[in-house]
Amino acid sequence: MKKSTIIIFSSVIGFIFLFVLLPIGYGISSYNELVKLEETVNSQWSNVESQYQRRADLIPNLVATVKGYATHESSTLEGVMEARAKATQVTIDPKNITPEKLQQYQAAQGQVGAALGRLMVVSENYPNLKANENFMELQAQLEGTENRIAVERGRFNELAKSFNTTLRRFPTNIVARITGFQKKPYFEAEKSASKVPQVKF
Amino acid sequence: MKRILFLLICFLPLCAFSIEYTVNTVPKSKNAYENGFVSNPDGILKAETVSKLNQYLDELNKETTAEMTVVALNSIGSAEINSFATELFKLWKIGKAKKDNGLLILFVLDQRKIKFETGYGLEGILPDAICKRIQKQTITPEFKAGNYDAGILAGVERVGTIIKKEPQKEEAPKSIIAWNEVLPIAAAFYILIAMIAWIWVANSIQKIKNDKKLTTNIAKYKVIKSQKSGIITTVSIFMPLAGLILILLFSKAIYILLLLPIPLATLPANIYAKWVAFRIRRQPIACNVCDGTMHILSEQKEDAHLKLAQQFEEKLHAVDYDVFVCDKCANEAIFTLEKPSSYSECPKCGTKALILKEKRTIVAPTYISAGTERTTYICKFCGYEENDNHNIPRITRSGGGLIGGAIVGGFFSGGGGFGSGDGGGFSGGGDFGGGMSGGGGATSDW
Repeated sequence: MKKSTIIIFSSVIGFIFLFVLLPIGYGISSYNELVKLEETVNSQWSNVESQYQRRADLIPNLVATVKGYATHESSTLEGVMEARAKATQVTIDPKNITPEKLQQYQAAQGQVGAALGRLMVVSENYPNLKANENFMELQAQLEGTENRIAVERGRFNELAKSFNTTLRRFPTNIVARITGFQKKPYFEAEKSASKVPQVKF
Repeated sequence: MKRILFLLICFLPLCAFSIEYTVNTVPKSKNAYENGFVSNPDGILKAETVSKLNQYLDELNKETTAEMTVVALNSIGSAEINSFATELFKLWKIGKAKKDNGLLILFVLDQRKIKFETGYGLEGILPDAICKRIQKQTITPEFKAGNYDAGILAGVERVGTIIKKEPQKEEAPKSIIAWNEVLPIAAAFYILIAMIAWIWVANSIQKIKNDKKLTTNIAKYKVIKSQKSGIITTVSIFMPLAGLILILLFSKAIYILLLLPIPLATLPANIYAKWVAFRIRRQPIACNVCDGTMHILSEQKEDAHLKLAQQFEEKLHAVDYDVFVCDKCANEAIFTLEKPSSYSECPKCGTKALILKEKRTIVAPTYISAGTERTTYICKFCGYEENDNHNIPRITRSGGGLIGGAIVGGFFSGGGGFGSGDGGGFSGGGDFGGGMSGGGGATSDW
């Protein structure tokens, strides 16, 4: 081989490496990075959902307990059950979570929170209910669940933020646009949702 | 001077009382001493209580691996105790990693609140209702009377009893790599590589067979051999290299192990090429005198047609001779194949039987002067001896050894950084194990 052909050959290889292989390799690795981050967001979403589910599971028990003592509060109790029924219908597939859907979800869950808050206020009027062992434990569980919901929502927001930051950073944003990744919405601190039912003893 | 000291003593408790802790300023219970499980910066608990708690919690940790820690603070300002506890739990990483068996007991005097923050792993045995019950029944009645020591001791003991009752789960096996999925893919790649090598080798053999420039069998044999080894080397170096780059870019480093068998995948092609080369070398050729064909003689029969020196060379495995004899006119042809060996041609008799007999240092080299070395070659056929004197270069002090040592050292010291990944070590680092909580637990007022 002549010297000039070697130079041409190696510069062609270098060119291919620089402008073809390197961008492709970078694209693949940043795509994989996005997939990994999205997966953490998705799994965190299921954590959030399972905490809301935990609260929903507590409600029938709670309502049954309250019913035995607070006979005149059927409208409040119905309100709780109704809100719960509505909220369980709103579900989100974490793969295509949009701001509108999340807002819908949050509003429905906020209704449950507000109804539960009213129930707790009402139950203050029944000393026998307040002294009931079962009711006290349900209250403790409800309180803990509200706290867990807040924690998991906070973690969801953190993970969504780190996903969005990576998504919008150059040059990953080009890869994201080609492969169709979408920005993740955040939970917003809502007036009704941020109010944890205060249970005083 | 005395007055200043007096003032200082007067104000010290006041200062201490007015500190509002944030998550980052709470003194970590682990920092006090290695097996500390209690953070009591304001002296709310008596020293005696603290040492009792430490002892109990240390035992609990050794017995069940659960990490329970008690934090007693005067004030966290207007911060909300639930989120404060969650943040503190996250920051200190209480509980073993993966097991998440940590429990943070935090109480804040000015808010009159106590919070149990349970790690994910303890939520099962310590549900919020149980936490609340322990707080309401055991702790807050004492706290109301100002008996913080008695309250916390009884509470911790009650929680500890519950944790001890739970049988310890075995840790999950560590291997996460699905070898049963990876291995078939790897096997497919090996087969692919084997096929590539085979096709390449077969293709080049075909070309060599039809090459008009290579007239003799031996010439074709040599070219096939060198082509084959070139192809095999290329495949078994470049395929693993390409695989290495791909793995390092996109996958787990452990898969590098899968690259090791790649050279084995070239074995079929290798054997095939050897077999073809062997056949070509032995195939009959046309006689250059009459119109008959010449056939190769076996190793035993060919000796009659070879000179003594040639027979000797064959015995030394220095040269291989192929003897062809025509079946019609008894014309013979001898082909020579030089074998890779340590023998060279003797300048006296021309036999390839000259070999290095010894190498002797006559004058040893020093840091100042060069040395002399004598090499003696001997011909095993005719007994001819040849001596040569060489200079041995002066010894120089090189940094080679030092650099090598530094690289190896670097490798080993680098490993040190990974150790904490599992977060298991409680006794060594004086740190919690890396647990997670999710806001579980309960809060009570008093």
